[in-house]
Order: sequence, then C-alpha cells, then structure tokens
Amino acid sequence: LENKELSVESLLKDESFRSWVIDQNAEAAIYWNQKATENEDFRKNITFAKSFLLNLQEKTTNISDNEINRISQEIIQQNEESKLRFWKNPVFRVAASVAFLACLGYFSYTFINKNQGSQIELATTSNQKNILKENQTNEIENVVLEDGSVVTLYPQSSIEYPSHFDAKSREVYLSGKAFFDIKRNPEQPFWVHTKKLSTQVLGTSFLVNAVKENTKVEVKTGKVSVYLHDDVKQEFKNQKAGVVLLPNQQVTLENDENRLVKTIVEQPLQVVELPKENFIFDEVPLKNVLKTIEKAYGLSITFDENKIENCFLTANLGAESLYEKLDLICKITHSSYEVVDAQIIVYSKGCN
Amino acid sequence: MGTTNLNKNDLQNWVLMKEGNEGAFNALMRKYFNQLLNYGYKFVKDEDFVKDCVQEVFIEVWKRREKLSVPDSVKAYLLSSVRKKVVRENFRQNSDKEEIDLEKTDFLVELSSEWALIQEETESQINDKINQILQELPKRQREVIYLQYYQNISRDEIAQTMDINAQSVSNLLQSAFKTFREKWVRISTILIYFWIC
Repeated sequence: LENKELSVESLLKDESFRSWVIDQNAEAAIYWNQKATENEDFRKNITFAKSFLLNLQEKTTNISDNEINRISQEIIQQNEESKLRFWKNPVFRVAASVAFLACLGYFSYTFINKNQGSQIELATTSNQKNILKENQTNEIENVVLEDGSVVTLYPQSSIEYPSHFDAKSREVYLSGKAFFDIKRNPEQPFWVHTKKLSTQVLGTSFLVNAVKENTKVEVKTGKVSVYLHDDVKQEFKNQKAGVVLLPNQQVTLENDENRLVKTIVEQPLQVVELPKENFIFDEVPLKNVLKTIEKAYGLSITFDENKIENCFLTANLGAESLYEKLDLICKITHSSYEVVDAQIIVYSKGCN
Repeated sequence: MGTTNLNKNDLQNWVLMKEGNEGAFNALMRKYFNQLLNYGYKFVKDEDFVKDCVQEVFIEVWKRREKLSVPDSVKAYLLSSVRKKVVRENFRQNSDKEEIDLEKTDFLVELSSEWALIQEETESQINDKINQILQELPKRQREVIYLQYYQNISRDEIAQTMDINAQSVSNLLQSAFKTFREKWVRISTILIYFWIC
C-alpha cells in the first residue's frame, strides 16, 4: 500500500489492514502500529478506519480454526454415516436425536425371544401389528419409522415398533444399543422402552447411554425423562415417577435397590462451547469463575457467596476437563467440592 | 463484478466441493464461518443460535453439493443463505413471538466495549462518534455499509445477499454516505474526515 493511498477507503479494503483489525493478525499489527506513528494523517485515518471496522463488527463472534475444522469433520462424517443429525448438532430442535444404549447383559440377548410378556404388552397398547427388526450384521443399520424418525441400530440389537403409531404416543421397544433421530411432536410423545427403563423424549437432542448391569442413561444435550419400566406400567406416564435429565447428567439404575440415581456423567462435555480464552483467569473472583463453568457445562454449582467473596483465581483452565478444573480451583482456593444429586457443591473456608 | 483471485479460488473450491472434495469444503468453511457468524449476529443476538444456523447452512451445502449450481459469488450465496436461515429458524423457535420481518428488523450495531476500553481518549472519542452515527443510520443503510466494508463485498454481491437490485444498493450506499458525512460534520467540531465514495 503506497503512502499516498492511505485513505480511509483504501485502508478498509486493504487485506493486511483488515487482518490486523478483524483477525488480530500479529504481523499486521506491528506493521500498522508502526505506520500510524509515521505521520499525523496516517494516524487519524488508521484510527478512524480501525474504529469503523470494529464498530461494524460490534463484537468478536469468531470461533477458532480448530473448532471450525472439528465442525467440518463432523458434517462430513455425519453425512457419510447415515445422513443423521448427530446429537452434537442440536441445530433446529425439530428432531430429537437419541442414542440409546442398553446392554442388558445375558438376559437381554434372549429377551425378545423369552420375554413374550413385554411384547404382548406393547402390542396391546398400540393395537397394531408390531414389526421386529434385528441387526445380526456387524454394521449399524438404519430403520425409518412411520413418522420419519430414524433409528440407527447397532449390531446385536433389536427394536420392535408398531407399523402404525398410536395417535397419542409413539412407543418402541429396544434391546441392545441404538441411536434415535426423532421427529419432534409434542402431541405424540416418543417413548423408548428397554427391559428396565423407559425413556421419554421431551425435546431437542440428547444421548442416552446404558451399559452393563448398571443400566445407565446419559444426556449430552437436550432433555429426556427416564422412568423405571415397572413404574410406567403401573402409573402409566405419571410424571412424578420419572427423573428429568439435562445435559451432562445421567441416571443409573441401582440393580439391588431398583431405584434411579441421578449424577453427573463421567466426562462432562461443554454444552456451550466457550472459547479457550474464557478459561484464562487473571485475578478473577472465584464466583465469576464458577459461573463461567456453570454456563459452559450446563450444570448447577452451589456455593456460599459470602465465604468466597475474597477468593480470586489466576489460572489457565482451557485444556482441563470439568473435574480437573474443579480440582485445580479447589486446590488454589483452599476449598473442596462434592457432587450431590447432579449438582456440584463447593465448600470454602474463605480466602484472606 | 470483476473476478478477483479470491473469487477464483472460491469457485475452484466450490467446484471441487461439488465433486465431494472434503479439503475444499473445509477450506470454504475456514474462510467463511466466522464472517457468516458475525453477519448472523447482526440479526439475532445469540451466538449459539447463530452458530447452529451457520453450521446448518454448511450441512445443507455439503448434503446437496451435487445438486447445487455454481454461484456467481460464493460469499454472497453463503451470506444470503445465512440471512434467510437466521430469520426462518428464529421464527420457528419462537413461534409464539412475532416473526422477524427483515424489512422491520433493526440491523443492530452496538458499541464494541473491548475497543472502547483499550483506546486512549481521543480514539475513544472517534469511536463514540462512529458508533453514534452508525446507530442513527436507518437499518438498511447500516446493512449495506456493513456488507460493503466489514464483509468487503461488491455492490452486485450486496444485491444478491439482500435480495434487492444493484441500483437499490447504490442508492442505499449513496444515502448512507451522505447521512454519515452530514452527521460526522455536525458532531465533530475539531476533527473533520473526508469520506470518499
């Protein structure tokens, strides 16, 4: 860029200038800061053009290249796998995506064959002929339901569903593991029954996960409600009997106790993907730090505001997992935490 | 519209992408994702929502790549897709609320607070003035100014993006410059800048 061309208009069109202001390019910054000291007119024009662009930009909404790469990989893979919208893409909340994993151990394999009782139950509620799909291959298989919902059935799993759904509800019976992409319809709630648990789709997108003897339902994003199968039979769809799960929460079935225990998933993921910079804390009040974490993971954190009033944190927690973050924070601020009923409670003796 | 090297690259990537080239798709995303986020944010002040919308535009592009035609301007095509998507989805999600009418929507430009904090006084005065004037510009004038300078696209591309004809874009830009200049002169007693059309 020639000096004489250093008008506001030409600055605004200049790639290097734009990369300084918009992309915070460090090399360009050195060049333009230097340029601004050369003479008063340059300085004025540069100041004006920079301010103008920033005011148009209004706010840096940028996400990192890494994240863009991740999203692009996800789109490509998603499309190849099955044209399903995976849970990581809670895009328009029209479809509820469920991944449902029910490893019911030895009994589950033979469940469909042996436990005729449950099959009959489903058949009678829907008053329709049921269709049974079993995946005996080594690859995932797609099953499209009448309402357009898509079920991705994992190997050695089976699903049973009516050829026509009941007007009041859509109910399927699953043995094994499956991923559901469900068309949202509040008038006709979607139920996934397994041997021990019944899960109702309440909206948006989520991942449900149940493994081994301890049947488990795990939510990534969205909202589901989980019931003991027996409760559903007795008090059909009595809302009080269920446990509502939000992102990063899970419910496990304690076999011996036959009750649902709600906790936080083992590896909570950020629900709101905050930029790494948001986790670089420099003398930040502990309260704000905890609020940031609360927002990012969608989990509730309880603490005594008065106690932690004088606690400040300086740390870079961009790379750590939720629990690593909490461990570090507690170590630095001489506090401790525990997880109770899917909530995080931070105890502090206060800081001086 | 002169075909610059940048546009040529876009078109090459677009053609490759249509053939299923993942690298080309990724290159387009890296180049435009953030610019599209910023544009969407002008209509709905919810970063997560806008991110979902931009993501969905790319999902659709990738899904329908074989059927898509090659646009005159890839950037204008993406900007206009995001514009429509943000408005439509915002309506779908808030069906109890009123639909955003693009004709009525405020094209919001707020004071960039980071900027205001860092700058020394004179610069912050300039900043305040620019901010004030942009705020006072009618929303469509503000949008053409934003597309012309922040998105750095041609008049034809602006026309495509906003779904109006090129002459209307020129008229809007002329009025915007005029308003900007008048307001600037009016509120600045010391500093006078010349705006070159």
